[in-house]
Amino acid sequence: MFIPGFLISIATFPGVIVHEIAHQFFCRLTGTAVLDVCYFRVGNPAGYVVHDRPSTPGKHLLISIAPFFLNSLVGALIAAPSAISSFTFGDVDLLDGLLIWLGVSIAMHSFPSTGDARSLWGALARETWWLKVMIAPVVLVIFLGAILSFIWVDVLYGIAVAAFLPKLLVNWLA
Amino acid sequence: MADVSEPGSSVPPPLPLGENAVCKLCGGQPLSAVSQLPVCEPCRQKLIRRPLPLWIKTAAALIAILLVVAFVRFPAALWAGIHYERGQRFERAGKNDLAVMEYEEASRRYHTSTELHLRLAIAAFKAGDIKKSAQELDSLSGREVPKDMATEARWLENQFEKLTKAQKNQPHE
Repeated sequence: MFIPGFLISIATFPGVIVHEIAHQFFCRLTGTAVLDVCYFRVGNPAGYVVHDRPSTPGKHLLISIAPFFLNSLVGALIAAPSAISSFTFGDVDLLDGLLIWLGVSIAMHSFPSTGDARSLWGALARETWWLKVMIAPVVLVIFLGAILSFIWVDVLYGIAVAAFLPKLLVNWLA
Repeated sequence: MADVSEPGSSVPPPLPLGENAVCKLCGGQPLSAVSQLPVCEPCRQKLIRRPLPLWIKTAAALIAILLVVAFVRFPAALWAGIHYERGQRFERAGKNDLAVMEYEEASRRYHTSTELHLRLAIAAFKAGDIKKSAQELDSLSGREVPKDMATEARWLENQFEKLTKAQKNQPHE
């Protein structure tokens, strides 16, 4: 089923905001100047961060993949108790519904965009070949994630992180 | 000022040409030696510490509050989930008395869960605690049984019907 990207962005806008905050936060951590930020808008892209060239490729990598870690972590933590309530005990109230929506929305925007991948690859142009070899798989995975989002892999990832990770944790600890 | 046609981070604008270039933000000189942007060092430092807009601070605070709510609820939910899972494992292993104990622990947190009370009723019946099983079954009256547990619910109902018939057929003294 095809649903326009802007509708998905509107329905999951907290994830877009957290995604851009993650980029900006890591820009600040790595001492990289931020020229412009859009946390959310109706359009393509739904959000962006325009920043200076980081001083090292490692910092560039961190800024590019920051949302993957921050969005996944926040999405998982925010939805975990409600996911256990809902999927294990079938006990759902309004707050559970809100937290699961928020968790899935945030986690599904974990994937860095193709813009992040292009920016990262562009930054490697003047770097050594071995660094390119090391970072190429990351760039490839980012592109793959962006392509697979056409078949809802980002949504599936969001659901997996927010809903099934707590279930796995319970099974592991029991 | 910069290309924003792609999401996420973007390639910065090209360096200004000429030695007399001035900061695009304040008009000062010299330009920062470490930046690709046409800005002076004080402005670059300001851009690094670019403040968050009020609405973003408010949204972040809301998310933080909901995170705290989730943190507060998490330990009880996690422990209940662990007890429930252990109960199911004991039940599968035929250790129904232990399963009952685990389900009872879980029911302290989720006392309205249909799934949990039904499992407790079934495990209690199999463990021979008919009274407890009947109590749990009574507490579920009027509720819809989850589809995946319908067969077991029917089995338990049949067991109680058989028991009732058996009690009726017993000779009175």
